[in-house]
Amino acid sequence: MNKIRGQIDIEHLSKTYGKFVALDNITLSFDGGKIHGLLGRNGAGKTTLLHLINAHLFPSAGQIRIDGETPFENPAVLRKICFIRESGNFKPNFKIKDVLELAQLAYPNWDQDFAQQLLGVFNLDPSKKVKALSKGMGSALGVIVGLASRAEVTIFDEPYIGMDVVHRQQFYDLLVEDYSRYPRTIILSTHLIDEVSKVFEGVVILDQGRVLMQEETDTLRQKAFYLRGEANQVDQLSQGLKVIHEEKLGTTKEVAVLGERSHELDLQAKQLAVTIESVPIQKLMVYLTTQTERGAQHASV
Amino acid sequence: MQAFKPVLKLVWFDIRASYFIFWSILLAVTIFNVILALSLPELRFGMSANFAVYAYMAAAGFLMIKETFPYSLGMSSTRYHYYWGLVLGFLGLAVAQAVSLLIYVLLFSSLTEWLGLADNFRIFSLRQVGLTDISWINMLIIDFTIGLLLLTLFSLAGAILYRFGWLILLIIGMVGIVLIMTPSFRAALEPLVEWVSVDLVLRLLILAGGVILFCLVCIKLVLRRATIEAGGKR
Repeated sequence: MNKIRGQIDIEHLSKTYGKFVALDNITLSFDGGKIHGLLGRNGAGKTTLLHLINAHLFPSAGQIRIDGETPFENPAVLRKICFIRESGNFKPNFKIKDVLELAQLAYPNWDQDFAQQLLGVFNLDPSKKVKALSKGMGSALGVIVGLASRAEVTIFDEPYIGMDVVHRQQFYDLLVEDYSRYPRTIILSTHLIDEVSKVFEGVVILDQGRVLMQEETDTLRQKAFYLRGEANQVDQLSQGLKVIHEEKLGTTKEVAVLGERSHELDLQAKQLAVTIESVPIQKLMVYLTTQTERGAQHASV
Repeated sequence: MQAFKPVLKLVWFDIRASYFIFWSILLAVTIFNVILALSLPELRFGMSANFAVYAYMAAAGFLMIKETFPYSLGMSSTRYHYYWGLVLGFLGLAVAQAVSLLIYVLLFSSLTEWLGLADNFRIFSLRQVGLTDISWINMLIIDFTIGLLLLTLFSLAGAILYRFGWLILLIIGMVGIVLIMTPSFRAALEPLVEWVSVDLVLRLLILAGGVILFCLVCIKLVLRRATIEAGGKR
């Protein structure tokens, strides 16, 4: 059976800088033709992973395959990828029109009309130099190149630093609209998880160079839930469950539980007047990564 | 060829501003000197564009890789395509500078003669460095070779700096200086000097060709495992 194009398979990938381990033997896949969220705290290894996918860096061990081929010095694979970084994508003394002209040559699926249209959406003057752009406008230029490249694998690493909320929302809308017309593999590495999580179809959470979790977004939303109510009732209900976070406010208590809700639990909660709500992905990531941090601290004590 | 186009365009976009600024300044200075010579006929002076062009080539070569390699990788180019795009860019720039220099020398030599300034203001070229019977085509070839030599030599230094950082570049430079100062090394070079002296221009060009090839091979080796981060950070 043929796999969907833009499939990225990573096996036992490690990257070390001297004694520092940026990625530690990670194995994961980004399914072709989906929008993936790559999440994690600063220093989790997200940017390193994305650079390795683009063959900008060399792995210390393991391998990466895109549609079954290694990206390193492989023009057939690299021409499928458009990687927009947080900053430093374009030469500061180039004009916006120079950047678009270069992108037109670099990306085989480039859509110049779409790029022109996006310049209007983000109010960018093509005769302006990159160094004259504000942080947000520079990010908008990256977003334009990423979207108009229509690359089979489009990767955005924190693409909207400095962009205002209106432009960010426009980016999400354009991304979803264009993706629905031209399905491709999109990886979004971001800290603004709540804002963008509704567009993710799959989520990978990295923590300290390891894969903490990889799930379909819908599955992930069912993986954790809050219990809220009187402290005694909540404690009673959460006994035996894997609590990843708890917060007390007066006599009420809220706990975040990792695991799937059962029908029995729903009934018990109703009886005890405890509300059940799913945990937003951003909160889940925070709880999981702080939990591993605490675990590491406890282990080192 | 399609794969080289983004790199060639990147190199062109990178160099075009400095190229036009350089020639604008050079032309402005020359015109100023011509006016000065016309105004003050008792003054005896001259200027050479050759060394300015050579200095430009050295500076352009040194900065070229740092200014283009990471952006080229960022545009999903392979190191292989970047390298050959860079080599084509070097050839193009060396040709452009040699042709521009020749036009400049021809134009201003004729202009100063026509204005009767030949005695008090001179445009120095290779004719004034002992090559009096040199033809224009040979001047073109020599300037092209010197330009390309400087471009590749300083690009190698720039590539080492990009890949390994200042420390390694300085160590290599120091080792080179120590080698040159070592009498046994100088003695080993004597047969080469003798070989060159038999037919100075031709053999210097051949030697320059050898150095250019050596530099290009070294640049390829240095860039083979270079990453998007400069200075050996990653």
